[in-house]
Amino acid sequence: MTLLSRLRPDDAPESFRVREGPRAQREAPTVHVVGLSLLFLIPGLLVAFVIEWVSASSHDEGALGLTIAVAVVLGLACWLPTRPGDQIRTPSVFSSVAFSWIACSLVGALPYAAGSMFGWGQFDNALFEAVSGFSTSGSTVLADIEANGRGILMWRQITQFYGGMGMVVLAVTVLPALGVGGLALMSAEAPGTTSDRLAPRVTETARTLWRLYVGITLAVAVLLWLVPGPSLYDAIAHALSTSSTGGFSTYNSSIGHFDSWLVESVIVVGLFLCGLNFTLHYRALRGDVRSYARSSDTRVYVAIIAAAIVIATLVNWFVDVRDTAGRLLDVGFVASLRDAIFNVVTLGSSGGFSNARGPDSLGNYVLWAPQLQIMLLLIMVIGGSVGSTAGGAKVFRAEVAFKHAVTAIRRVRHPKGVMPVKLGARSVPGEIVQRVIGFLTLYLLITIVGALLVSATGAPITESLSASISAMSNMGPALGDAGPTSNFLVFSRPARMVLAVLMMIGRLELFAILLMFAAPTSSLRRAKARGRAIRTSRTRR
Amino acid sequence: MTAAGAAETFAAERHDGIRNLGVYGTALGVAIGASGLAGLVSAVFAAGDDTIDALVLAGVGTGGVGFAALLARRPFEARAMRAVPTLTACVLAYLAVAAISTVVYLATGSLSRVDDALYESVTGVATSSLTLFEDPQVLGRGVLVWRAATQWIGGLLALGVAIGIYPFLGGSRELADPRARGFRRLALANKPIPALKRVVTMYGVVTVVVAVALLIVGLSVTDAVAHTFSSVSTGGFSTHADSIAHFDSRAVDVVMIVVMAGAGFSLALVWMLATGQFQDTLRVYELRVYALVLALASVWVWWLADPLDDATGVVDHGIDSVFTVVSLSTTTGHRVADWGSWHPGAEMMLLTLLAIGGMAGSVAGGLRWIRVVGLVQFVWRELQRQLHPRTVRAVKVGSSAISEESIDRWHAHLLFTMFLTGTGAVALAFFGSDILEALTLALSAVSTTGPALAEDGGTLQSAATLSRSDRAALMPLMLAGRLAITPMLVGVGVVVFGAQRRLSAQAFRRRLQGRT
Repeated sequence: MTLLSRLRPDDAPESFRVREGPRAQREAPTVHVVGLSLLFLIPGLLVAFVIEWVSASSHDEGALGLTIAVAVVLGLACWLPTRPGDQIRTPSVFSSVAFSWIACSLVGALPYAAGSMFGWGQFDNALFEAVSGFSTSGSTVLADIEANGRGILMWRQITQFYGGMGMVVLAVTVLPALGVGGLALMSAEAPGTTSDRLAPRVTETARTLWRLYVGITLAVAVLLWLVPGPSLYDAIAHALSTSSTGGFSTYNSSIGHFDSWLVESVIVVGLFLCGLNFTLHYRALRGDVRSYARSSDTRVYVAIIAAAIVIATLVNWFVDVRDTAGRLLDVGFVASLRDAIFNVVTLGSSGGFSNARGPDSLGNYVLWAPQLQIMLLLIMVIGGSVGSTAGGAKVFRAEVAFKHAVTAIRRVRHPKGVMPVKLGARSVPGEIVQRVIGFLTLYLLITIVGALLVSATGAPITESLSASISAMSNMGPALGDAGPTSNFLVFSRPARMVLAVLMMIGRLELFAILLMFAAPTSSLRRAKARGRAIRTSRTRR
Repeated sequence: MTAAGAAETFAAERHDGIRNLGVYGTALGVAIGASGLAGLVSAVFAAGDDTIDALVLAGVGTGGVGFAALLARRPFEARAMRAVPTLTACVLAYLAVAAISTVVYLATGSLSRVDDALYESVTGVATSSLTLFEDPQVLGRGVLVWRAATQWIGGLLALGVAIGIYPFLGGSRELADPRARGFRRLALANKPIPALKRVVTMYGVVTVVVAVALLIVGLSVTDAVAHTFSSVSTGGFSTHADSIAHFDSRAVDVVMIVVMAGAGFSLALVWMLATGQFQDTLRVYELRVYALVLALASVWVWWLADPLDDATGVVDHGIDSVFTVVSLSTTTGHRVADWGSWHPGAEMMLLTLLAIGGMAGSVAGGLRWIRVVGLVQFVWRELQRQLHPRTVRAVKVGSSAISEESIDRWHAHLLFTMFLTGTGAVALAFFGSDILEALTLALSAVSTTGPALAEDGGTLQSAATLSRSDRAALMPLMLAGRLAITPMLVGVGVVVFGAQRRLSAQAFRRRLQGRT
């Protein structure tokens, strides 16, 4: 990302150069990208509208129609009169991404607020649901999901699908003119996803990623439809939130509704694959299957998941597990293994689905032994691989940070030693190590500040801390009363707004949201300087 | 390897070994000697008590051994000190004091089980306040003073390592020496030995001043001495079950607030004040941040804990809030109120402060504010680098640049703190604690504070309710936290990898060649 974003337009190949737009178009990359992102919401909204209209389940087609109109008007109003400019500057990259996500979340909340789900009086809840969807978190404030219409529920699933790969990456697929700035945009939206270029052209890389993403979604949908249980609607809806590692479901008891190990197996495989680097999938599809084994990131990710499954299975099998009323649950080895696999994979890939067949089933991990719940918290923080749709701090960063810390201790013994941080046989450049440390420190700081703010609203400490971690890693459920069989209505309204902000910060990997005002302020500064210069020249004259 | 080469290596190893004997002798001599001194002081308070014989014996015996070790040690040059043996010697010094204290508890009959005595001793030298005694008044006066004295020794050793040793072995100088932060006139830590001497002198002077202050506000001699020992060391042991609340005196509360806040200051700052550099002291950035955070956190806690809900008046509640904030942010652990039953927002703030601890170069545990400020500045630089990738900028705390090596070490410290807390919490949960208790206990142990949030609400003030396995899990966490983690990790690494290396066949062959 950095290498390409550092290139000046003149350095870029001819095909990458930005062509001059019509004179009427104003150079405003942020507004342009926001407009395009909003326009890309329309196909999803249309699908939801049609489903709602055909099923006539809750008569929310009006709300969806209104949202389509708003998306068209706002999208065109932002897109038509603007152009991205000759070169997208770094501050504009961050503001483009951040404002696109904010705009999409605001527009995406309209069907919930204008329809029967929440109503205008609960726009904050509608916004929370939309942010949770686009950020692929999967936390919900719906007490009864099944009471809503099929179209509106499908829109919920579609928001997660959009969020999985990102609207801006989608925008880049049709913006060949962006060229140099395109990769920076993609990287700012999902730094891991575009760490490797899959094709010489940025637009082609974006398209390849989206093709892979759609392919995995289709595969999961077909498999879900083939296994007994889910209808076609269910299969598509859950495939959308599986490939995005989102975790929204159309049922109150999530995947537990189907009570089928086959459905759980498909979801687990889908989540696991989407928690891995998409570049590796691309290479595997081109015949290089060993690329998985060569990746240190993948090896560690698989090791963490496998170890956690073994520990959870054995502890649940050996230690007494009690239900919410304190009665002892009869846990067999197979049941323990099944629930361990599902919950560890769903939390390790930041999916956030639940396979609990009720609050007193072993699938409700809040009933598990406390040591397992702490382990699950750690897994949530680490998250999936770089370049995946999963959230969290990412395995690569955890690995680099740990090795860097060990190196710092070794340096006490050998102060003059040259000890690079190595992943496998390759040394990690110092610049990347510093970026990783900066990211993780910031991640920790924001999580603590978030937990402080949530607890200040009166939420208990376990819930505050776990919800803050869950929101930052785009997980969905938390611990305690905010567990997988509950919802985020246990938090107050201000606390939910704090969590929504954390979800957005976590999904955009901190920097985009924190630097979103860098472009507007620098533009303001430039405008002020221009004004001063004009005034000075007038005075001289 | 040729025979000549092997002989050369053998000679070098032997020379190193002799020098290391000097380092070990000094560290152990100081620690054991200090224990002897503490034993004699405790014996004075045990006059007319059953425990006097054991305390006199402990004082004379360990004091004698300590001074003999100091006299018999091999002389060595401070410049020749190496990181690994020196840090290992520090770990051994802590363990020696803990071992002596264990024997004292058993010999005086205060505790009958070895593991209980060891736990209380480790809690003492680690300056944690999670005692095994629900009501310390069951102990004799001599043992009460001995208990507090172990904390005083623990604090002294911690200061010695933090200011007099670690910075000269490649550790972060910024942690110990404000000169590294832009103050050139100060000469606390030019060389290890003078620095250590000044640390001992200042620690002793501060102890006397605090004891006098506590006597003036009305504490008995035993209470004043015991609370002085446990406050200047940020230990937190009290002679009463309800800690400072027992005295029910706002004058005592205020004096204790000042003492604890002072213990959270860098000792180098105390030196600056003592040498009249008032203006320079006020310009220290970490001090400003620390003072500001304490003030804001006190307001936050006071506001959230809502004094109108209970019978306590606004001012009294304010003093309770400030006391609790200062007590936990300096990792002391004294208490005047049950903060575990306060508003969750107040509890979360207190836990955050407890994890961060006091200033660098102070006797308080935790991450230290200099690290937090430095890492925040580092994050700020990384944010700016996102916008301007080619920018070259130093990380600054105030107006002073922090070295990249220090930032690396601070990050490692943060990561290992989290790792230890996480591992400890998993272990505690495995032994039966719930999530909140396990996490807060582990965090509190690593920061050497002591109290935590109890499973059934309220504050967990005593380890008596914990199982033996819980206490076994807490001991290494407390020791690691007291030793600022790195020396502990280096020490453990040396023991494990050193033994592995020495026992290897190759090392055996090399020795054999060297001898022949």
